[in-house]
Amino acid sequence: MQDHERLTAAEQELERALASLAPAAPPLDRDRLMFQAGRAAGRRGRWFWPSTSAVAVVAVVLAVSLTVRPQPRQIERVVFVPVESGGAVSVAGPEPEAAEDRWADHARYAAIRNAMLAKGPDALPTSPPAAAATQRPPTLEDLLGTRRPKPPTPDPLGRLATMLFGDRS
Amino acid sequence: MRTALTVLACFALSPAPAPGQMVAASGPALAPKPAGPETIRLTATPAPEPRPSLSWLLLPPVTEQTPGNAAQMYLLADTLAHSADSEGERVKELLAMPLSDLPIPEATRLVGACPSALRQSELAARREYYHCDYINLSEGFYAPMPSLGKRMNLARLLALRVRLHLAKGQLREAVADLQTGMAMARHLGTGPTLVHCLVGCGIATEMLPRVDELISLPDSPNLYWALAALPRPMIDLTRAMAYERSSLLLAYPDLAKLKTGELSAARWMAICRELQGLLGGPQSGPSTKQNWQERLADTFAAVKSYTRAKKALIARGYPARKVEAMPVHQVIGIHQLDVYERIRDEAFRWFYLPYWQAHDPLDRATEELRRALAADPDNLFLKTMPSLGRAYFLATTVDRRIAALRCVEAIRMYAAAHDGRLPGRLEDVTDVPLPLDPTTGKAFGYGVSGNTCILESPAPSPAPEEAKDGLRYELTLKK
Repeated sequence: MQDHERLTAAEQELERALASLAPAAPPLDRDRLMFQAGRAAGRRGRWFWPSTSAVAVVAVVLAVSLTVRPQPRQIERVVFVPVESGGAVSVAGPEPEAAEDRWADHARYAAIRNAMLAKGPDALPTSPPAAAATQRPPTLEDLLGTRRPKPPTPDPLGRLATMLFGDRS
Repeated sequence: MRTALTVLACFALSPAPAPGQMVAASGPALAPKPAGPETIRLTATPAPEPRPSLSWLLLPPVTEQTPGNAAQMYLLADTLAHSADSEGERVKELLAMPLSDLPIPEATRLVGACPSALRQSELAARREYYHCDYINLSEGFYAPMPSLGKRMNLARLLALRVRLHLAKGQLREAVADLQTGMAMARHLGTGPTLVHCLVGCGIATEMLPRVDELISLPDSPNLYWALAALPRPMIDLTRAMAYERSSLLLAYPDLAKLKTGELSAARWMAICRELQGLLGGPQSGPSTKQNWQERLADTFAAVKSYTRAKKALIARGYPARKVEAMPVHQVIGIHQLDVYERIRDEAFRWFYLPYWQAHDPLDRATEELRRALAADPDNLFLKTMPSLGRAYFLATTVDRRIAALRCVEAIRMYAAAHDGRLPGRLEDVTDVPLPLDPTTGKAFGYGVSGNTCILESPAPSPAPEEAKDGLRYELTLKK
């Protein structure tokens, strides 16, 4: 106030002029600003969750297929190796699994029975079922009475771990 | 969630159901025209009954039988039948052609190629009994079976030899071979499995047309009493059906542990895999690999099976808390085994009654089986059941053919006593009793037209496509 009394007339006039000015309304609408901010954020994240989900699904499918995919088919080859003395000695491939042995050696009784009911006696095989197809020359192991140990079959999780981290055995 | 995860763990690797052997319903795109009943046309002369009445027999007489078991002797005969297989198709052709067209030199060559096997068969057929003690029936479906296909080929060769004798007019030799063939059929027909019985049917089906041919020869003896002396039923399914009923539990006795909870999930899965291979035909086996999509589908199927099985067990009176506490495989296993045992016995019980009484109930049992499989296509136990109605029908067709032939011989006997005339009605034949048709339990249909009469047995099913299951004899008498 004391300063006011020291103002010149010109200054006092300026003061009055300034005081008569009303403050203008701010140009920003707060609500609109918030809405636009939200919309902008939503536009930016539209593909975030779908893409995250898709990646997750692909990962699960890949993991399942890696875990439970069938073993590579083992092809049994019989190689006849001529030797100088004696007859041929055959070296057979991997030993069939025990369950397959059972299937190879036994007749598929139900299949024969049902075929005969449908087609009559012509459906009968003329050789013992499965025997002819599975006959193989005796292997060296057969002749010597020794059997090679079967290679261990890794469990599915073990296979997955081996694929991811390598064989650490 | 826990349920789903447990099912996932138990069945993720379980194989998909194979197409059922029993109720495979898919048919050809274009249905062939239905065949009519099997029609046999005979031209024969009147013939009185022989004196003594049993001077002709179609099974080896007791005086020719030797003590012991025939089964091992048949096995030896099979091993001696080297060329019976390679010439099998040609033998079939020679059996199908009219007797008058039979090329004697070729037939002689074919029959002469297996003398040891045929001789061994003659000896086997004259053994007192047939007991396959070399088959370990306790293995159920997996019992190793001998090659019955060779036996069938040998029987055809024997049938060809009968024709050869008939073509040469050698009646005694022809009947001796018929005795061998019919004894083989009878032996196999009392065998331990349904396959044995069906082979027995097949052998009889090769031999009985030879009886037709014998009757058609001029001055052939009347075989009424020879036919009457054959066992009824000729193919006795009693033993084989007892085995069929039990074969699942013989193959997998540990299924009985399902109810006590002692059967592990791993063992359950192994059984499912083996059954799957058993039902899947020759190309599949228990080690068949599946891709992950199939396994995923199986897993969902297993979830469905579990839900269904749980509901069914509770509905049948199992305490809900107990069922909830059971492992998934146990719930499914108990339910599937219960359904199987119920449906199985509702079908197999009819084998203790004559075919004509069993036909309709067996049809209903088959329908029930279809419904059960439609409701639970994953029930592999149900798929192990054979087509029981068909099996019983095939066995009964042998008796029907024998009965029809007895009627033919009774008519020839009547004609011999009535100046060569045919009876106007079957009831007019009073000298000997006429057999009933074993498939209907009634008299054969009969009609006369001039010097030809017709004996008829309808097919058990009225459906046009089943008409081939009927039988019709057209007998023309010549003076």
